[in-house]
Amino acid sequence: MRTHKPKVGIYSLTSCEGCQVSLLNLGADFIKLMSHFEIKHFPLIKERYYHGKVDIAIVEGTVVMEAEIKQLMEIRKKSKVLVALGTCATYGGVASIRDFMEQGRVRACVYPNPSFIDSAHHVRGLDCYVKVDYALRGCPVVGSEFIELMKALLLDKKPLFKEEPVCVECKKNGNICLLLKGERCLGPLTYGGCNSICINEGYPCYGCRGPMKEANVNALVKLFRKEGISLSEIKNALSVFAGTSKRYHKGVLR
Amino acid sequence: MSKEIELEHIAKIEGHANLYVKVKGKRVEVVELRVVEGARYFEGILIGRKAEEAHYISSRICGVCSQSHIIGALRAIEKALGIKVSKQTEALRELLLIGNIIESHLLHLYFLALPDYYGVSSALEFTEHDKDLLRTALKLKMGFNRIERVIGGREIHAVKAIVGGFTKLPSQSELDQLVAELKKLKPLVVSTVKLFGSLKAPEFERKCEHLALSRSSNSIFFDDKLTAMLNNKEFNIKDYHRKINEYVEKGTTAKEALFLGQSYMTSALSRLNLHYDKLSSEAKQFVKASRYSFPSFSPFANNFAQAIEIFEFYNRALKILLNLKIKNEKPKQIKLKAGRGVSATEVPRGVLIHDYTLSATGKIKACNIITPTSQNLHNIEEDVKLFLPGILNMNERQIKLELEKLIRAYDPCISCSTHFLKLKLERQ
Repeated sequence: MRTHKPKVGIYSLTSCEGCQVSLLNLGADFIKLMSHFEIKHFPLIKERYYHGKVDIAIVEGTVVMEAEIKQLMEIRKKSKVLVALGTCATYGGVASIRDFMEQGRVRACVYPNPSFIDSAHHVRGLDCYVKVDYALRGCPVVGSEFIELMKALLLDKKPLFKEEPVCVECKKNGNICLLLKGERCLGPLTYGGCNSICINEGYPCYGCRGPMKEANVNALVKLFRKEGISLSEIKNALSVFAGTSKRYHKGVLR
Repeated sequence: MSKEIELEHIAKIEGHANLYVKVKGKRVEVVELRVVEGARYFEGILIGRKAEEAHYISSRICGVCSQSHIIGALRAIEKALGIKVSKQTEALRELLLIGNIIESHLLHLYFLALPDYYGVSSALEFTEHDKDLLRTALKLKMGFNRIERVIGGREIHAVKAIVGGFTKLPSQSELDQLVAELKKLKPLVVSTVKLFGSLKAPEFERKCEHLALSRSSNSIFFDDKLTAMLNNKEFNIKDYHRKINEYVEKGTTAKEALFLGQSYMTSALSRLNLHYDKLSSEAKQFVKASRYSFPSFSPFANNFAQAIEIFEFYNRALKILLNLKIKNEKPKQIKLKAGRGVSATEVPRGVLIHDYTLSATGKIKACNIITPTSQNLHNIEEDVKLFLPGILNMNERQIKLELEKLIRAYDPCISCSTHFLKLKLERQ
């Protein structure tokens, strides 16, 4: 038995903050779960910066500015376990799209004089800079997976996450396969755990949870090509959320 | 004697910003609201993407108002492509937007603003006596999340809304169930309006311009015309760039905006100031019983204005739902063509502008997004300049708290303006 409640810090780097909101959206379940922990830092709803050590650091968002690298290193130094919360923290998320474009042009589209803006050389997942112990994928993160992980950490057990692609859940949900309709669905490559939410609602998977370790990317690319989907369109789709993952970055997006 | 105050990492706002203030004697010399969140270059990463991709990528600008960006982008793209959506699609989008506005207001009012008034550092620390507040907040939030879930398929970054309509329509029984669930929330909605009407805000007013959509059509949220209150002029959203100038301050990643060279506010308060006469009589009764009256030039009144909107939009959502008989219809067909589309949408924090130019193959060639917070940043600075001299006799901790209250009343969403609050006050 633990003699004290583990200290938790929820930190936010550059992001849309939707993953922090997803935690609040767990409502009473979040409050109940977190009553087993001591929340030391939670900037969205809690006053003041907590600079002390924590047992579990949960980090949303990713490094987009040079200044955030130092901030992330400090979080790593003061925490025992570091959790990447969501797709931005795991892979870089939508902000990493710029890595696949001509950088100067991207900046000039937004700022007339972009030279004084602190902008890290590239956008990657947190594991590019520090050791990440657990990654909760998803844009936004899936609340039940957060609960599963926090319970496991509380009990010193290994969390049970599904190691199967979106297709498995999609089939179980009785959806008609979008590949059969010739649509550009990334379900076969992508980590499940989202309950195939997009496809259930009639929208093809954009791979927000990133590619499985064993994903056969080339086979799917070949299939898309046969359906008449252009290579640039395929690359565009793969680069939205997890383009920086090794599977994509060292492969088709190289 | 000069003094510097720096509010570093202003907590309980969405995103990361700092405030730097320099005071000489009683004179405020410098006020700088610095956004310190990283630039994600949304208007750059959208270039070259297909028209059908604008909404789900731009939704990632903000997890608090993702549905608002989705609807703003969809409407602009549809204008560029000359698509007119069905009445049913408009009604469903309005519901999705109302769900988003109310749950965003709830997050701000109960989690970000209210702890200041109860002297606790967060909603998680309400004393035993006030614990019901947290329960009420969560119950309401979950309730309005349901609207987003049923209509949009997900509470954050909806998946069902696409160019031309919806991938999947809610069933009539889902809508009926939603109505039943919403009806149960009425007492909590009413207690929320009463609570925020009773809170005593610092006394402070500054006459400034307010901008909101006109209500020439029957819609609150979708209109092609904007009205400036003091200027008493209406202009078409297509001409926004002639009236609203965007600029970027050195040392920040936020874009700020001016209306005809002046700072202005766009918010729930602006909507109420401009359209007070259109409030329901029930809502007007709540205003009469409160500490506030409208039009108001106190930014602190924005909190109560949001509470009033929760009540009004709650009733509006019920009305829409009760009139809705779902027809099985497919999204409108898309015919790609070159063109430009500008949309203005009333979202939680004010008017949101999305502007896209498409190539003949339907690729995004240029895009511009002006969020409510970037429009408000300059106005917050102007407020701080006038507000600060009145509180300089307080100790530094109190000064910071009062300044944070002021900034929070705007409910700034820094992720939206790209970006966090740090207050540095320098006295000379």
